[in-house]
Amino acid sequence: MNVVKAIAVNTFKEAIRNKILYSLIFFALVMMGVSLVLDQATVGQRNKIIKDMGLASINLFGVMIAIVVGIGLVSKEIEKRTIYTLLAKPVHRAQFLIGKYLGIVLTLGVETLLMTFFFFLLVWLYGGGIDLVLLKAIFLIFIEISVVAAVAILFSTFSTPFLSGMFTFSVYVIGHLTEDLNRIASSSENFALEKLTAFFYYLLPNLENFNIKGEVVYHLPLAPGKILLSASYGLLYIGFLLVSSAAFFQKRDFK
Amino acid sequence: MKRSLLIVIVMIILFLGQAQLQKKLARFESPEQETLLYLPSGKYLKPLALGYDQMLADLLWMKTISYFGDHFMTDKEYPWLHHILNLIIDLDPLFDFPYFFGGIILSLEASQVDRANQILERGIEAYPEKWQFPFYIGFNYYYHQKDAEKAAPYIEKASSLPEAPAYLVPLVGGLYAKTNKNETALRFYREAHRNATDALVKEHIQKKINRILSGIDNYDTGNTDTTSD
Repeated sequence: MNVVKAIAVNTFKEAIRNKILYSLIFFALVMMGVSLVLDQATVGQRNKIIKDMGLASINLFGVMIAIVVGIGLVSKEIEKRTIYTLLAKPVHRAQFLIGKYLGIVLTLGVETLLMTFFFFLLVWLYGGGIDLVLLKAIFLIFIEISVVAAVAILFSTFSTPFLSGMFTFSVYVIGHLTEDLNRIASSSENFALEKLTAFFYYLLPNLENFNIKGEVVYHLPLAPGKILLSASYGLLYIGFLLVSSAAFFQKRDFK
Repeated sequence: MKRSLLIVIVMIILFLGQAQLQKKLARFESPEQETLLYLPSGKYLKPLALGYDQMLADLLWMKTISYFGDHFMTDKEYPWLHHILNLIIDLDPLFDFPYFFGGIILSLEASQVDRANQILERGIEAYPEKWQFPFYIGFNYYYHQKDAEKAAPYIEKASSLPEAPAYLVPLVGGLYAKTNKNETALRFYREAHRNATDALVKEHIQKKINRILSGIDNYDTGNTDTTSD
């Protein structure tokens, strides 16, 4: 456990050293830009638009950071040859991978927390008060970006950073379209196509499960247990991805 | 020193060069309606939004305002306003401002009454409890198309919704008066009487019913005293 913790803390420190948190400046700039444009270009429901934009930016920045940091983790260790030193010690490969993943999640958590603080400040400045319901959407966004980070780690265990980035981004896109896959499966009259689409529907992450941005902005009632169920789904999926990553990583030859 | 000066000069020349080219290229830009033409229908745009539906709707909303502003200041033609408003509604059906904007601007400014009413019908679907949407449809039929017969049921519907202003009840009676329908007016007033909670309003409606029953107000012949509304 201490090994995993040490690797996680180190990964977090490395991300900070790599100036990942500088991306917050871009987030701040985007939000300030949006608020300036809103003053000039919108009629009606300014608060609604600020909330939509803020939640979307937290989501988008989180996904970008998860992909950028996630895909380079393993390859960087191989490139710098630090992986040999690490694995020569009594560190299991799975421990290394889980430590790395938890380090990313910690980085993403800190980043999300800071973005949330800035977002709430802007909503408050625009007279929207402190709307704590928004935290529900941000919590699920955090789970979503943690899933994306796990996908990035999975690909990085057997592929190059560039390809891992492409694959992860594709999974992210498809992850938002799985409902359509399900629709195709249920409406298809071709048995093989129906089974194939159904297989991919369950294999790929359904990232729409974590999207309640619209519901919280309009204060719509959420189905009871929706957040708990979505979070549990996310955690199980992350577990599935990490176990698969560990299996690939175990087989990898570093020569 | 000379070398860095040269680099700065080259940078300035390249920068000014690209700025000039951009200026020239801007002249080739397609007019606004053509850029909007390439927006797909909401059916296809929604899945492509990847969960950022509301943000995309907001961006399109800003585009709508600028599109309206540009054309309002120039040709006052709005061929793509209806399309873009429908897209926003497809992406974010609970964003209520586009319904109001489309319902009023499309009919008043663009003289597209049927399209305005189509947007408002979608508003009723999204917000069945909002009295304004059926009211605006009724208004559009009556004011723009001079069709009291089509307007009356919508105003009647609006008057029955929560928070509807009290003046809608006599307005419906007045509209039925214009359609010369004694029986319909009577039916409406009886229903309004049954639902009224205020004693004064109840009394006023009862008087109106009595006037129709006694023949003082005859909506079939158009002989009515609308001042008593």
